[in-house]
Amino acid sequence: MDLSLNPEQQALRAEVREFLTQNTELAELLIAERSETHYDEELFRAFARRGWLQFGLPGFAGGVLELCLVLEEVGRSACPGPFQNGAVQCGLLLGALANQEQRGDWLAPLLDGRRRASLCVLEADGQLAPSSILLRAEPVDGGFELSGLKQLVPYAGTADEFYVVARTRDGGPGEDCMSLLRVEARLEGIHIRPQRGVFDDGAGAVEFCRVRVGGEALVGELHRVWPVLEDQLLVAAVALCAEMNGGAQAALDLAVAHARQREQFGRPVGAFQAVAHRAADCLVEVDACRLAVAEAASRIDAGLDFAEAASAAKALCAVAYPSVTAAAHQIHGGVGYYEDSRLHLYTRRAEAMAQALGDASHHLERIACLWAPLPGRIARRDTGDSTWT
Amino acid sequence: MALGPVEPANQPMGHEPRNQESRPVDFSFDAEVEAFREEVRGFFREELSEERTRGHFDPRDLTGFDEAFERAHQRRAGERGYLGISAPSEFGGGGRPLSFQAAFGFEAAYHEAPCVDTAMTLVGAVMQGFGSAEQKVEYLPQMIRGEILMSIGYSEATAGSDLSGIAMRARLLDDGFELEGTKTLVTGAHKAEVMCLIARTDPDVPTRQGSSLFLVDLSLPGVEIERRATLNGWTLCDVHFRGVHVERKALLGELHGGWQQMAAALTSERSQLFHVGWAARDVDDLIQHCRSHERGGRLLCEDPFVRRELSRLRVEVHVALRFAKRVIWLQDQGRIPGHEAATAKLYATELLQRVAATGSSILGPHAALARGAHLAPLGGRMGWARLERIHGTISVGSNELQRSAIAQMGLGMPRNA
Ligand SMILES: Cc1cc2nc3c(=O)[nH]c(=O)nc-3n(C[C@H](O)[C@H](O)[C@H](O)COP(=O)(O)OP(=O)(O)OC[C@H]3O[C@@H](n4cnc5c(N)ncnc54)[C@H](O)[C@@H]3O)c2cc1C
Repeated sequence: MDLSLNPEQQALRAEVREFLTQNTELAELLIAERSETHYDEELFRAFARRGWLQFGLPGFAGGVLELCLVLEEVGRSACPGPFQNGAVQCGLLLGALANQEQRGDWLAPLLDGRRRASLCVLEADGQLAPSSILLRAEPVDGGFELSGLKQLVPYAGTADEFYVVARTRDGGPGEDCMSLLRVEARLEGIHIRPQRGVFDDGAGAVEFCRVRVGGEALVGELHRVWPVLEDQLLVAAVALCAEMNGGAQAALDLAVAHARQREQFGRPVGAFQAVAHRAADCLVEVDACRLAVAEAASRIDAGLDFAEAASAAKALCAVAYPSVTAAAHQIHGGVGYYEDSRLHLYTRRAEAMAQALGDASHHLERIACLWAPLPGRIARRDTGDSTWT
Repeated sequence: MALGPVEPANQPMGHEPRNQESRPVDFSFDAEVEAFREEVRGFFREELSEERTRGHFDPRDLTGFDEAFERAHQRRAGERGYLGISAPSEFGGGGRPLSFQAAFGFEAAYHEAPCVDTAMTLVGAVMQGFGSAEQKVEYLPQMIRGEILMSIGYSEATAGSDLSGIAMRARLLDDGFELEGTKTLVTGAHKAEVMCLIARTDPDVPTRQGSSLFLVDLSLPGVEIERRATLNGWTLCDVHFRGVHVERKALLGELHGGWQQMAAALTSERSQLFHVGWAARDVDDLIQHCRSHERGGRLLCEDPFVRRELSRLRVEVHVALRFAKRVIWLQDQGRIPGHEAATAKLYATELLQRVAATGSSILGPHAALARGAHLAPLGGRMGWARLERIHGTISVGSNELQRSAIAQMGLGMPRNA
């Protein structure tokens, strides 16, 4: 176990932090979140142009560990933008599925911020499972016709293109009936209605009414993208966890700073054990999450099996982030409930992120499927006899 | 409500029953209270029907309704005698036991009526306990009829859990007092006519010996009310008093006796039954939702996880209800609840947080949608609740202080400063 960062990693972290602290005052962030685009596009492009969202992709320098360092800083700054769904998730999918030409045409502009993409997966019941994907893409004239409703699509209103997970044939729950299609966002038949969340990430319900695309829109193998999607979204979950950890740490830092300075009954409230112990519990939780993310990321980078480590990270972070923000509120007392405290930036994000890419029970179930596969479900990996390494 | 003997908290469980003949404990309210509740329920159903509320929503107000609606609604509740149901009849009150008032609070919360923070619930106790005959005549009938809104100004920037840190001054003049200072985190001051506040009247002695309560007309010159947004969209207030001149009759109770009066008033209706009303509503709505919505091809209520979690919450709502009823039972007997009141507050406010957390995990990613969002389950109630339930464990005596109270009063633990 080596927890140290090498000099390049340290420099990267410092650089990202410096960039973000200059541009993420509370007032600026709220203006961005409430603007028509729901994030500062200029700022996001400047960020992307620095190459910070390319880590962890095949053909680019740096690994998922570097990506996690970057996203932890994004989480700490609470900067809104399509970091996860638009860049990381679409990027990972293109990296894993796209052919040479598609990568050149689509991946590069996405990673340097020239084009804006949103990945459309979830539907009415919100589950990340093939049986919950009902949107159809029928083959017609060498292309496809899409009909169905995607929901909770981040930054749906500003996206130039959607990557849509669609059912391309019938059969069972559909693990082998799923395809990925690239759809220009301005095509006829696409209707977007905002779905404002407690953290407004520009989410929308995107309706596809007989939307036609050509055969070149297909990314990856017809009918067979689900296993790749599942794997890549597991990598993406680790990246999301890194952002969550940055946020949880920032919320804890705010609470600790407050507890040290706020005096009641003639002493700093942090001197009361009830307060100090609760903050200590937060540190334990955040540390657990940090280590879990570091482990998952290094397993991915080393080409080792990462399924359990990644699901463990998300199962931990999905609980820890909201629990840390809740504790931070309690420690802040009333002043933390005002909108002019930064704390809610984290509280509101924690709500959305805990559920994104699978909540705690989703990932615990996936771990269960590793040590006790359910009948009818394909066990992708054998965890072996002892997994306590 | 009939309830068996209250167990001392430090008595180990499982001893032989002390009273073999005692009837099984009956946890329902008395028939009379139940009848009253039924009546009140009908009232709220009608009052909060869609036609009545349409066009009156206001997310900037804690109640979710605009002021015109709130005032009209409270007047109608007042006309029916609900607001002062447990207040003395000489001022127009109903003279009924506190269980009636608590039952009303429960139903108001359950129906999300803008009738939880009424002038009576906020200031009624201190007014009845310490108001002069003149003040009672002036204010109580209006409060009971629902014709006036009030607010509470105890907290300041330097004084939250420890109110002895207040800095607000009330300088004694020949013809009254001059108020100088700022109250913070005040609920509803932007619409209230009056604030009940505490200020230091003798700065040369400790706060406990040199403070007084006042009833201040918020329209007086020098009062400035600043609405500050909370993280859930509605506003609290900072209220600035700059050389505000009040008459002598604004003093509530004894000069320099404010601290003791404030403490005594805090032991008034303390069941916190309204918290339980909110929790019961959340759980009922979740159950309804799960009985009528599917996931992965089966009803949510058929999912074993959902079944157990919702059952657990039902159990816990009933626990909270019993804790609250125990407090009412003590109070209706003229006893002052100790750790029982702290227990009721602690449990109910933390239960509200658990309900929102569990509810969100049951509803899935859509739970994080905001109120009124397109295709949000339960109209976005859980996302709103996740943010709304944060403050219950902080205000009205933080839960850390409640735990200390339970340890000291319920268990006789030594005090730590
Ligand atoms: C939504 C809302 C509405 C409110 N409405 C009103 C109102 O209408 N009128 C009014 O006067 N006030 C109101 N308040 C203020 C409320 O009474 C205070 O927030 C509360 O008393 C806590 O004080 P504080 O916020 O200053 O927290 P602090 O006292 O600063 O406490 C910070 C943290 O330290 C802990 N702590 C403090 N002392 C101890 C101790 N001795 N032992 C262990 N832990 C301790 C607290 O539990 C808390 O976790 C409201 C607050 C909120 C959030």
